[in-house]
Amino acid sequence: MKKIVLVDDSDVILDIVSQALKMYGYEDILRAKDGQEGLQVIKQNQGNIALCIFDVNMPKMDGISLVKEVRKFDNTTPIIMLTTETDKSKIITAKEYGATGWIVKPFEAEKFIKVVEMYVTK
Amino acid sequence: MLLKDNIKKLMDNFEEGDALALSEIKDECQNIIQQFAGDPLHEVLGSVPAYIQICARIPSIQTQCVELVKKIITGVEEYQQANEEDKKKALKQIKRQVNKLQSIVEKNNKDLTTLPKPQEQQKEEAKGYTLEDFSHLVDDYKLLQQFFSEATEHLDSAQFVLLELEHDSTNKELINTVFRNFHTIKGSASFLGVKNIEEISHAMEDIFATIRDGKMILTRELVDVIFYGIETLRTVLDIMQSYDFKAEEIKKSFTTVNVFPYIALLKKILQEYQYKKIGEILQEEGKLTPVQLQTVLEKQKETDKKFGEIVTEERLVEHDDLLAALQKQQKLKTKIKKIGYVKVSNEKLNSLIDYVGELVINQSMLKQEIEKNRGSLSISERTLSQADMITSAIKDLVLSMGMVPIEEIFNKLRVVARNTAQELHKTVFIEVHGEETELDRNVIETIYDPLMHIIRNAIDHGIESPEERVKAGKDKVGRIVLSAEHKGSGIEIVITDDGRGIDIHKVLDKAIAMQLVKKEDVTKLTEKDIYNFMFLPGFSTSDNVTAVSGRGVGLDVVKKSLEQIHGRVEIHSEPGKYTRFIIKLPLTLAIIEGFVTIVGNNKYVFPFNSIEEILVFNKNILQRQENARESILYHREMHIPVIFAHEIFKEDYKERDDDRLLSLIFAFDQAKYCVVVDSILGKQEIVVKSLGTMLNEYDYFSGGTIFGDGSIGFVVDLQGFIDAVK
Repeated sequence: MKKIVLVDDSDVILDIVSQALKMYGYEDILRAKDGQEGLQVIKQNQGNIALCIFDVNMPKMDGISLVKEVRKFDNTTPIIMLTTETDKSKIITAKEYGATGWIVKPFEAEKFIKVVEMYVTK
Repeated sequence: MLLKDNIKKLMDNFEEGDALALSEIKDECQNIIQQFAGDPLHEVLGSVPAYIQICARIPSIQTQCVELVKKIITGVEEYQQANEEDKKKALKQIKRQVNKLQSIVEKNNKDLTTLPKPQEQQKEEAKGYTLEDFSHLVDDYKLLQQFFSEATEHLDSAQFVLLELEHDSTNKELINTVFRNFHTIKGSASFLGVKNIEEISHAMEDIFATIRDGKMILTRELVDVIFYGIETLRTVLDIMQSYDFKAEEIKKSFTTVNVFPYIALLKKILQEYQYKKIGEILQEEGKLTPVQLQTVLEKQKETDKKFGEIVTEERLVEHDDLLAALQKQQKLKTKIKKIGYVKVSNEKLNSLIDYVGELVINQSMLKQEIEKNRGSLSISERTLSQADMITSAIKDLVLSMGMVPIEEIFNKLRVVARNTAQELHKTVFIEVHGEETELDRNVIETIYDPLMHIIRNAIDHGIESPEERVKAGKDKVGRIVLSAEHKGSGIEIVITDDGRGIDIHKVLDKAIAMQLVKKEDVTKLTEKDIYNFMFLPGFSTSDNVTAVSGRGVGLDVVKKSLEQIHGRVEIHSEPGKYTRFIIKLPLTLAIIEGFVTIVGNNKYVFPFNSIEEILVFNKNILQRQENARESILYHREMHIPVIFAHEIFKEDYKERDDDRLLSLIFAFDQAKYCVVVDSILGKQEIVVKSLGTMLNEYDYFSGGTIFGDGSIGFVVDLQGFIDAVK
């Protein structure tokens, strides 16, 4: 099964989201704590990724720049942005760079999994 | 049925890329399909969820697909209600829509690899003429010179007649004269290949043709705009003369003169202020044939009767249709929506809102009790979610009754802008978007003054004099865009002027002079910090006081009054280009989206839309500066002050065993704050109740609320809260 990449600078979010994913049988999860690290992880696993999930606000390289970078070499992998109500305006830029969609935090785990199900087939 | 309401609501609010909504739409579709097991519909709809799933990967087709799904769902409803015969028809209809959906999805699924291209900012204004546009320019000294004197004559005539028209705006003869002036200029210009003059005079001709046909009124403002057009034409003609009518040099010089903004402005005016004759409306709607229309018009010439009278006498049109057409015309004339109103006293509406508030509380109590007794009670989730939906639908409806469109205020602001501009000898065009956006009555009352201040400021300080604007390469007519739109759970009002922008250095100098900041600290300030100085009392960068502004009362008042209604204001600007004020307002004051937390022994509710994120961090990473009471958190490359909510609310503080702190990061006033709380209960709709006189002294509460379990909570007013810290 292909992997799911999770990039967020908050440990809490990383923990919660990967726990939820594991609970529903998505075992292969790659985690990164900032945009630069995320970019490396994605490059290393190129062609083997089913879905990317990026936070918008991150140190070093934010989620929007990360979308831009990833799209330079990967046009197909869906990228979902995690955002807050106050940051929703940034999503427009992310979409222009090629982000596939977005989810507003906070979200319920079950609903989140349903979104993942749309992009990843087990 | 209610299940379908849910999916409809989801689809109505759908925004491209909203993955959560899309997955719910897919889910709801699956639910609906299940209901039709064994029915022929089941097979027809079978693949719809799969298509939605594919389109989740292709944002660009999502809106289109959701529209189709909407049609499909409506079709399903019709199918359900239809009798046996009509069922077949309905089924066919649904099938057609599903096929459409399929072809869109399949077509786009193939070229998944094509990325959405970043939107090119290709505004008409950015476009200028190229040498090619003037390739047909006649190289003939004599002809061009002749054209020059002829055109100048016509412009003189037009200008003179326009002055008269200002006092006699309906004089057909005068209007015709101006029309012919521009018409002639256009004709000669087109013959000689002077494309820029041709296009401007063409646009002006169009305007006068519309005025002549009685579809537009020649207002003073419009005369102003036309005068600027005449000036522009003169400038272009002067260029020709100054190059001694040598075609090659004229061409080169023409490419540097950009007249497109002006043409665009004329076109916009034509589009927005035109209204139709009653006969045309009736004909468009098919109530009157062209022949009938002609006869009525001829009859009208013979008698003194009005169009409507003749039509009804001749029984050509039903009375109701005529009335409808008249109403439509009225709408076009004033662009004001007229909906049937029923007067309800404020008192009654307020008590209705109160009761709905109770209902919302009651509903959440019910939800909590059921969740507690999960399993032992036999209420199905569906029943509960229906109750949930009905309550929120009633709530939305009742709240909307207290809403009024912002249009009324925008119209008033237009008048203010015009008067201010005239006072200052400037010409300003006001563009309005989203005037139908609705706001709470109480909010509307409060925002007029602040908006007026901002508009007056924009015209006085922002928009330059016409001469300055020309020097800066801008259109002579200043432009202010006023817009309102729903954003998140609130409303955003944006006022943009294309004036000189804000001079950051001037603001800084003033701030240093007023000892608001030390010179050596200047480098630490962000752009936002600097703009924020402008909201302080007594702050004005204008050197002289005019009748309009410059006394420094203004922006601080703007901020104060907006804060009263939980609004925020931000400034953005680019020197020489624009200044933009963004005002964010809550939709209503009665019910807010709250974030419930526990501090000490009580529940406290923070406004949800100011929360940036929830952060858990180790106590040890906090930095405390010497002699400072306040701790600082370094997070996302920013220093954020940490506020312990316990100190403000005078609650007991219990140390946690693991040294970890739970906090909310707020974005407020263009700054960030980290507020430490004990625990978080989550997001909830909060009915704000007045605290009464007893707790009035606590500025940091905007009210109280009752939760589902009967406990009470305090609703925090962020401004008061931050002030209390300071």
